[in-house]
Amino acid sequence: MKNILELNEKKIPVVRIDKSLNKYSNVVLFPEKVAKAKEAIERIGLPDLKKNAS
Amino acid sequence: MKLDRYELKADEQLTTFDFLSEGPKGKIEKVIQFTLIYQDNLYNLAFGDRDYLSGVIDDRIVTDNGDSEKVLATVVASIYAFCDRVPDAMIYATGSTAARTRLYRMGINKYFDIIEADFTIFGQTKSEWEQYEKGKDYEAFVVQRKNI
Repeated sequence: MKNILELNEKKIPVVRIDKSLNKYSNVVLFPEKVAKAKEAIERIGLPDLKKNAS
Repeated sequence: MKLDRYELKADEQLTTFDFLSEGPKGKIEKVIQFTLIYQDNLYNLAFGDRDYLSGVIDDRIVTDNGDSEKVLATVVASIYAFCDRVPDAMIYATGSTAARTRLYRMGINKYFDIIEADFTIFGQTKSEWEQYEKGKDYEAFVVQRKNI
Protein backbone atom coordinates (compact mmCIF):
# COMPACT_ATOMS: atom_id res chain seq x y z
CA MET A 1 0.00 0.00 0.00
CA LYS A 2 1.32 3.42 -0.92
CA ASN A 3 1.99 5.74 1.96
CA ILE A 4 1.08 9.41 1.89
CA LEU A 5 4.60 10.53 0.98
CA GLU A 6 4.63 8.29 -2.08
CA LEU A 7 1.21 9.58 -3.09
CA ASN A 8 2.40 13.17 -2.68
CA GLU A 9 5.19 12.54 -5.15
CA LYS A 10 2.67 11.75 -7.89
CA LYS A 11 2.03 14.65 -10.24
CA ILE A 12 -1.70 13.96 -10.30
CA PRO A 13 -2.67 14.52 -6.69
CA VAL A 14 -5.05 12.64 -4.49
CA VAL A 15 -8.11 14.87 -4.29
CA ARG A 16 -10.76 14.35 -1.67
CA ILE A 17 -14.27 15.05 -2.95
CA ASP A 18 -16.10 17.49 -0.71
CA LYS A 19 -19.76 17.78 -1.70
CA SER A 20 -20.06 21.05 0.21
CA LEU A 21 -18.03 22.59 -2.63
CA ASN A 22 -20.69 21.60 -5.17
CA LYS A 23 -22.51 24.83 -4.35
CA TYR A 24 -19.76 26.67 -6.26
CA SER A 25 -19.99 24.52 -9.38
CA ASN A 26 -22.21 27.00 -11.21
CA VAL A 27 -21.01 30.14 -9.48
CA VAL A 28 -18.24 32.33 -10.90
CA LEU A 29 -16.12 33.12 -7.86
CA PHE A 30 -13.65 35.37 -9.67
CA PRO A 31 -15.75 37.44 -12.12
CA GLU A 32 -13.09 40.13 -12.60
CA LYS A 33 -10.52 37.56 -13.64
CA VAL A 34 -12.94 35.90 -16.04
CA ALA A 35 -13.83 39.27 -17.58
CA LYS A 36 -10.13 40.08 -17.96
CA ALA A 37 -9.49 36.73 -19.63
CA LYS A 38 -12.42 37.18 -22.03
CA GLU A 39 -11.25 40.68 -22.94
CA ALA A 40 -7.76 39.39 -23.73
CA ILE A 41 -9.06 36.48 -25.81
CA GLU A 42 -11.43 38.74 -27.74
CA ARG A 43 -8.57 41.16 -28.42
CA ILE A 44 -5.80 38.78 -29.49
CA GLY A 45 -7.46 35.40 -29.86
CA LEU A 46 -6.13 32.10 -28.65
CA PRO A 47 -2.66 30.67 -29.09
CA ASP A 48 -2.35 28.19 -31.91
CA LEU A 49 -1.75 25.15 -29.77
CA LYS A 50 -1.89 22.68 -32.65
CA LYS A 51 0.69 24.59 -34.64
CA ASN A 52 3.05 25.08 -31.74
CA ALA A 53 2.57 21.94 -29.66
CA SER A 54 5.77 19.97 -29.42
CA MET B 1 11.33 16.06 -8.08
CA LYS B 2 9.02 16.34 -5.12
CA LEU B 3 7.37 19.66 -4.41
CA ASP B 4 5.70 20.02 -1.05
CA ARG B 5 2.02 20.83 -1.40
CA TYR B 6 -1.22 20.92 0.56
CA GLU B 7 -3.99 18.35 0.53
CA LEU B 8 -6.70 19.28 -1.96
CA LYS B 9 -10.45 18.96 -1.70
CA ALA B 10 -12.76 19.48 -4.68
CA ASP B 11 -16.35 19.48 -5.81
CA GLU B 12 -17.60 16.47 -7.74
CA GLN B 13 -16.90 18.12 -11.10
CA LEU B 14 -13.33 18.98 -10.11
CA THR B 15 -13.83 22.63 -11.04
CA THR B 16 -13.59 24.15 -7.56
CA PHE B 17 -10.83 23.12 -5.17
CA ASP B 18 -9.87 24.24 -1.73
CA PHE B 19 -7.04 23.74 0.71
CA LEU B 20 -5.68 25.19 3.92
CA SER B 21 -2.52 27.28 3.88
CA GLU B 22 -0.65 27.00 7.16
CA GLY B 23 1.95 29.49 8.34
CA PRO B 24 2.75 32.33 10.73
CA LYS B 25 -0.64 33.94 10.01
CA GLY B 26 -2.45 30.74 10.92
CA LYS B 27 -4.68 28.54 8.77
CA ILE B 28 -6.07 30.31 5.73
CA GLU B 29 -8.56 28.72 3.37
CA LYS B 30 -7.64 29.02 -0.30
CA VAL B 31 -10.12 28.46 -3.10
CA ILE B 32 -9.17 27.58 -6.69
CA GLN B 33 -11.68 27.67 -9.53
CA PHE B 34 -11.56 26.63 -13.18
CA THR B 35 -14.26 28.56 -15.06
CA LEU B 36 -15.31 27.74 -18.60
CA ILE B 37 -14.76 30.86 -20.75
CA TYR B 38 -15.30 29.92 -24.39
CA GLN B 39 -15.91 26.93 -26.58
CA ASP B 40 -15.78 23.61 -24.89
CA ASN B 41 -12.31 23.67 -23.52
CA LEU B 42 -11.00 27.13 -22.61
CA TYR B 43 -11.00 27.67 -18.85
CA ASN B 44 -9.89 30.50 -16.63
CA LEU B 45 -7.87 29.57 -13.57
CA ALA B 46 -8.11 31.81 -10.52
CA PHE B 47 -7.53 31.41 -6.83
CA GLY B 48 -7.83 33.48 -3.69
CA ASP B 49 -8.37 33.48 0.05
CA ARG B 50 -11.73 32.95 1.71
CA ASP B 51 -12.32 35.13 4.72
CA TYR B 52 -13.28 32.90 7.62
CA LEU B 53 -15.89 35.29 9.01
CA SER B 54 -17.46 36.88 5.94
CA GLY B 55 -17.00 34.00 3.51
CA VAL B 56 -15.86 36.52 0.88
CA ILE B 57 -13.25 35.20 -1.56
CA ASP B 58 -10.54 37.70 -2.42
CA ASP B 59 -7.88 37.18 -5.09
CA ARG B 60 -6.12 40.49 -4.41
CA ILE B 61 -5.25 39.94 -0.78
CA VAL B 62 -1.57 39.54 0.12
CA THR B 63 -1.62 36.68 2.61
CA ASP B 64 2.08 36.65 3.45
CA ASN B 65 1.80 33.30 5.18
CA GLY B 66 5.36 32.31 4.30
CA ASP B 67 4.32 29.43 2.04
CA SER B 68 3.97 30.94 -1.43
CA GLU B 69 5.95 28.12 -3.12
CA LYS B 70 3.85 25.45 -1.42
CA VAL B 71 0.68 27.32 -2.41
CA LEU B 72 1.79 27.55 -6.05
CA ALA B 73 2.77 23.86 -6.04
CA THR B 74 -0.74 23.06 -4.76
CA VAL B 75 -2.33 25.16 -7.50
CA VAL B 76 -0.19 23.32 -10.07
CA ALA B 77 -1.37 20.02 -8.56
CA SER B 78 -4.96 21.17 -9.07
CA ILE B 79 -4.15 21.78 -12.76
CA TYR B 80 -2.94 18.19 -13.07
CA ALA B 81 -6.12 16.94 -11.39
CA PHE B 82 -8.35 19.12 -13.56
CA CYS B 83 -6.56 18.07 -16.76
CA ASP B 84 -6.97 14.46 -15.74
CA ARG B 85 -10.73 15.06 -15.98
CA VAL B 86 -10.63 17.44 -18.99
CA PRO B 87 -7.52 16.34 -20.92
CA ASP B 88 -7.90 18.81 -23.78
CA ALA B 89 -8.57 21.84 -21.56
CA MET B 90 -6.73 25.03 -22.35
CA ILE B 91 -6.18 26.92 -19.13
CA TYR B 92 -5.78 30.69 -19.06
CA ALA B 93 -4.14 32.28 -16.03
CA THR B 94 -2.98 35.72 -15.05
CA GLY B 95 -2.31 37.51 -11.81
CA SER B 96 -4.77 39.89 -10.20
CA THR B 97 -1.94 42.44 -10.19
CA ALA B 98 1.24 42.91 -12.21
CA ALA B 99 3.27 41.90 -9.17
CA ARG B 100 1.34 38.66 -8.82
CA THR B 101 1.69 37.88 -12.53
CA ARG B 102 5.43 38.37 -12.07
CA LEU B 103 5.37 35.93 -9.14
CA TYR B 104 3.63 33.31 -11.31
CA ARG B 105 6.15 33.90 -14.07
CA MET B 106 8.99 33.36 -11.62
CA GLY B 107 7.36 30.12 -10.52
CA ILE B 108 7.03 28.93 -14.13
CA ASN B 109 10.65 29.86 -14.82
CA LYS B 110 11.90 28.05 -11.74
CA TYR B 111 10.12 24.82 -12.60
CA PHE B 112 10.02 25.30 -16.35
CA ASP B 113 11.62 21.94 -17.22
CA ILE B 114 9.10 20.02 -15.11
CA ILE B 115 6.11 21.98 -16.41
CA GLU B 116 7.26 21.93 -20.02
CA ALA B 117 7.58 18.14 -19.94
CA ASP B 118 3.84 17.82 -19.32
CA PHE B 119 2.30 21.01 -20.69
CA THR B 120 2.44 23.21 -23.76
CA ILE B 121 2.89 26.73 -22.39
CA PHE B 122 2.16 30.04 -24.09
CA GLY B 123 2.84 33.58 -22.93
CA GLN B 124 0.68 36.57 -23.79
CA THR B 125 2.47 39.75 -24.84
CA LYS B 126 0.57 42.99 -25.42
CA SER B 127 -0.56 41.93 -28.87
CA GLU B 128 -0.08 38.20 -29.37
CA TRP B 129 0.63 34.77 -28.02
CA GLU B 130 3.97 33.11 -28.32
CA GLN B 131 5.53 29.93 -27.11
CA TYR B 132 6.72 30.58 -23.56
CA GLU B 133 10.35 31.59 -23.20
CA LYS B 134 12.06 31.69 -19.85
CA GLY B 135 13.00 35.19 -18.75
CA LYS B 136 10.51 37.00 -20.97
CA ASP B 137 7.81 39.28 -19.64
CA TYR B 138 4.23 38.06 -20.16
CA GLU B 139 0.84 39.38 -19.13
CA ALA B 140 -0.88 36.01 -19.00
CA PHE B 141 -0.36 32.33 -19.71
CA VAL B 142 -2.16 29.47 -21.39
CA VAL B 143 -1.26 25.87 -20.67
CA GLN B 144 -2.54 22.65 -22.15
CA ARG B 145 -1.65 19.13 -21.09
CA LYS B 146 0.49 17.31 -23.61
CA ASN B 147 -0.66 13.92 -24.81
CA ILE B 148 1.67 11.75 -22.81
